[in-house]
Formats: sequence, structure tokens, C-alpha cells
Amino acid sequence: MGMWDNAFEKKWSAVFLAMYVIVMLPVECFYATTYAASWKGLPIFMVGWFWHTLITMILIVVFYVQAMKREEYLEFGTEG
Amino acid sequence: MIVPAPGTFFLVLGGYFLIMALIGYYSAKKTNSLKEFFVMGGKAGAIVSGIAYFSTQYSMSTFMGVPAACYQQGYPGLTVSVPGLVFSMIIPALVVGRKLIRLGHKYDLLTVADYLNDRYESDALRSLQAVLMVFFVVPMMGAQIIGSGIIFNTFTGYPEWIGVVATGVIVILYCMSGGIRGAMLTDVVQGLLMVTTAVVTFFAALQLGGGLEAINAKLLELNPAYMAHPGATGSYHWPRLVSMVVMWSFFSIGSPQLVTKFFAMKNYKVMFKAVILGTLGMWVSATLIEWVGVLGIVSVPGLEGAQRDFIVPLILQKAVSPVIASLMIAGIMAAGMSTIDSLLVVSTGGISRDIYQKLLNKDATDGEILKLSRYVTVVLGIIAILFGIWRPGAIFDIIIFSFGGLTIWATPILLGLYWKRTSGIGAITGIIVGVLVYIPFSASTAMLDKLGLNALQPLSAALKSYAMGFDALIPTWIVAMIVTVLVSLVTKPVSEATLKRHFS
Repeated sequence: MGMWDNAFEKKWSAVFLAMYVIVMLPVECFYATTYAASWKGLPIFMVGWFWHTLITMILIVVFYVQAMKREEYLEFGTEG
Repeated sequence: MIVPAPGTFFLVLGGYFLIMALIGYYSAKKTNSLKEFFVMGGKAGAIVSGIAYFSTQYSMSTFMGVPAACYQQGYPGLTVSVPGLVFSMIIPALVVGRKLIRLGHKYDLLTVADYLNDRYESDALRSLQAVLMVFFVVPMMGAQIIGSGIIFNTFTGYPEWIGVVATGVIVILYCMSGGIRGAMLTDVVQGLLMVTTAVVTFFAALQLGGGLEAINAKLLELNPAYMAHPGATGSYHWPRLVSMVVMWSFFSIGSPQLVTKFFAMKNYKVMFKAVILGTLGMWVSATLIEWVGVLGIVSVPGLEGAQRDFIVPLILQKAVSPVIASLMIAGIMAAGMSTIDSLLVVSTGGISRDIYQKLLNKDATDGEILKLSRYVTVVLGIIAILFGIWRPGAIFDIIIFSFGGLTIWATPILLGLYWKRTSGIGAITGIIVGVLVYIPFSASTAMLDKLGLNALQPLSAALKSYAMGFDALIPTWIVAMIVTVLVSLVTKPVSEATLKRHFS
């Protein structure tokens, strides 16, 4: 299956590509040229990277759960 | 500086090497066919696939060179991998992984060259991939071995070459006997050791520096540039952020030692579980070990030049017992070994299967090729050891150069999977132009000098001035894509039958 084969694939490809582009944006929470203090004095981009990674990880798990309910993902069995 | 403590170090390292050798012995007993040797019979489970993927991707430089860069730059140094690491596996899985699992299972594909040959109906492309892969894989293996030699020398006082040879011999032994099974099973132990090393070193560094809040306040007082982009020496501008995010995720789709792991996966469920597990491993190990470099500015102040490469071992030596410190340092060597082993197996496949069996001796049986593969593993391993002793450049420079050279194959893989019109001639031309542009674009001055390519120095300087701060791989890939598309449009596409198999 490819990234744009059907509505399900298109939706998830768009979600992950959006998250991919977002982390590369030169905005303060990902790329900061002046120091903005956050939790325990950490630069804000460290906290921004953390939340972005956590949200993307959750999205990966949701994608996995939804994909495993679809026939085409069961083609080679589900023994893990 | 580090005081050599050979007794404890030898004892712990000896135990670690023994475990690796035993895994190799176990794997050898399970490896009796070519498919077992190269892709574990296509039956690798989630734990093995996930941990093997991340421990292959993260190498010696993750534990030495990158923390050293963070020590120099402050928090912006973590830009190297932290913002993009969550995409290291999901992007390759999304873009090519699922298609490759399917094609691998349906048509018995074992290597990247198998895929390229089948998709483009081209023996020439198969040969080109195998030859170029070996060309770039040997330096990559050599760079990891150099790191082992440096660590060995630092902790024992004995010459670097002894560490280079010892590491090389152990990896050769378990890869020769157990093939990819030996590589991936040892990767599991090595990956767990890498995560443990990162966690222990992080908390040791926090303790030495007086806690996170105190360290951050001190960093701000020492130099505010430690706390904001582009970092203390101005190396981490926005184009570098983009380059690093894209490089370690999207471009992994062209990296044979990583892509081959998809052929080994049992099914899609395994792929997803491997992505989750591997990404978690990367998140913990890369974030913490790179962060250690920043904490070290306060915990172990005053390191200069090459001393910075030892920030992780120095923190361990100061904060934990010699036995634990030696075990964690074995974890750094594990990071190198887990990368070398996968490279060794894929480059073996390039020679024994892709060149010898598929081109030179098509009548050779799988049994003969399995036997030949074991010899080829030994020869390539020895070449890597010699490269490690020769040492043509800095570790991180060699790794970046080799990684780029390998991942340029993202072009024909991506277009082959998504654009029916891509032709074999287009793919070959794109790769040749890409490599010819990439070598002068990416190689450091010292590396060109060592390779005897001094004539390329002016061209190299000119190309680098056009990169606008992005890594050489990005403009090179754009050039390769344009050339591949243009040549494909004016050359004959592959047969309908092949397209049907690949796009059905």
C-alpha cells in the first residue's frame, strides 16, 4: 500500500507530513534565536520538541490501532 | 583526563565480547539457508526489528561526537537528532516500508539490489548499487571501528589498533556465523546497553552539576548562546535544523542497512510495533546522551578540542563505580558494533548475491552462495579493520559522507515505488550524476586529500558555497531527482508485466 492509495492512507500521510513540516518551522517553540526560559530554566525549544515528539508518538499508536482493523494490513498474518 | 584502568575494563569488555560470540554461535545453528543469512527468513519479530533498527541507525558518533558537539554548542547542539528523531522510523515505514514488506514477501526479495533489479529490469543497476554500496559501506564500518580503537586506547593505554582489530574480529565472527540473525540478535543486547548507558550517564551528569535548574542557571551565566540557536559557535542555523530532521528520517529510505530490515519483518503488525519500540529507544537514548553533552559544560568544565569527545566516559568515570563505568563504556562500543554488523551483512549480500550469484555465476546454488557469503564477510571485515587503522578523516565527517553516499539511493527507490514512468536508464543516470555531485559537495578537504582527489578541491569549495547552509545531501538529491525524471521521460519504461507486479 502506498501513501495516497485510499482515503485512510491519504489521511494518515497528511497527518504525519503536517507534523513533519511543523517541527521544521522556524518558530520559537522549535527554533529560538533568543533565550526564553521554560520548565526548570530549559530553553523553550527543548519543551516544544518534547511535546511535539509525544504527540507524534501518540498519533503513531492511533495509526497502528486503526490500521490493524483493516483487511489489507492483515495480509501476512498478525503474529507478532 | 581519563586515567587508564585496564584491569576492570578488560574484564567487563571480555565478558561483553563473550556474550556477543555466544549469540553468534546460537545464530549459526539457526542459519542454514541464504534467506536466513540475509533476512532471517523474513520472520523477524517486533522486538528484534525495532531495537535492531534503532541500534543500527545510532552509531559511535551518537555517544561521542554528538555529545561533544553539544558540549561546544549548548542546547542548540541537540538539533542534530532530537527534533526529528520521532520520524526516523515512521517516515521510512510510511513511504517505502509497507510496499517493501509486501514485495519482499511476494517475490522473495532479500536485498535492495533485488528490488531495484526487479523493478527496473536492469542488471546494470543491480551491479551499480552493489559496487557503490560497498564503496560507501567500508568507510562507514571503518569510522565505527576507529571509535572503538580510541576508546580502547583511552581506557587501557594500549595502542588503538589493538582495539580496532579486537572489535573487528568479534563482529566478523558473529556476522560470518549467524548472518543477519547474529547481527540483529546482538543488536538487541547492544541497543538495551545503549539505552542503559544514556540513562545512567544522564542522571550522573545531573547529580554532578547540582540538578537541572542549577545547571541551566549556570549555563546562562557562562554564555547565553548556550541557550538559544544557533548555539555558542553559531553552527546550528535553521537550514541545519531542516537538514538534520530530513537526513535521519526521509533519507533513511535509501540506506540499505536500514531498508533491508523491512524485508526481514514478518508482517505489518511487526512493522508498527517495531516503529513504536524503536522510536522510543531512539527518543530515550539520543535525547539523554546528547543532553549529557550540555550538562557536562557545568559538570565537567574546561574540556578542549578532542577531549570533548570523552565527555560521556569522563562523567561515568567521575560518578559511578569502575565496573559500572566499564559496562557503560562497553555500551558506547556497542553503538559502533551494532552499526558495523548490519553494514557487514548488507555489503556481503552486495558481493556474494547481487554480483556473484545474479551476474557472474547464475548457476550457483544457494548453498554455495551461503558458503561464499561467509568468506566475503571475513574479507570485507578485514578491509574495514585496515580502513580503521588507516583513518583518513574525523569520525563524524566520514559517517556523514558515507551515510549520504548510501542514501542517495532514496531517488530510484522512491520513484520506483511511486512513479510508473521511471525507467532503468533514468535511475542509473540519476544515481551516477548524484554520486559525482555528492563526492566533491560533501567530502571534507582532508578527506579529498587522503583519497588523492585534490584536483576536486576548487569544485568542492564552489559547490559548498551554493548549499545555503543545507547539508550537501539535500541539493544533491534534488539534482538526482531532476535528472532521473528527465531521462526517464525520454527513455523506454519497463514492461507492463513488471509494472503490474509492482503497482497492483
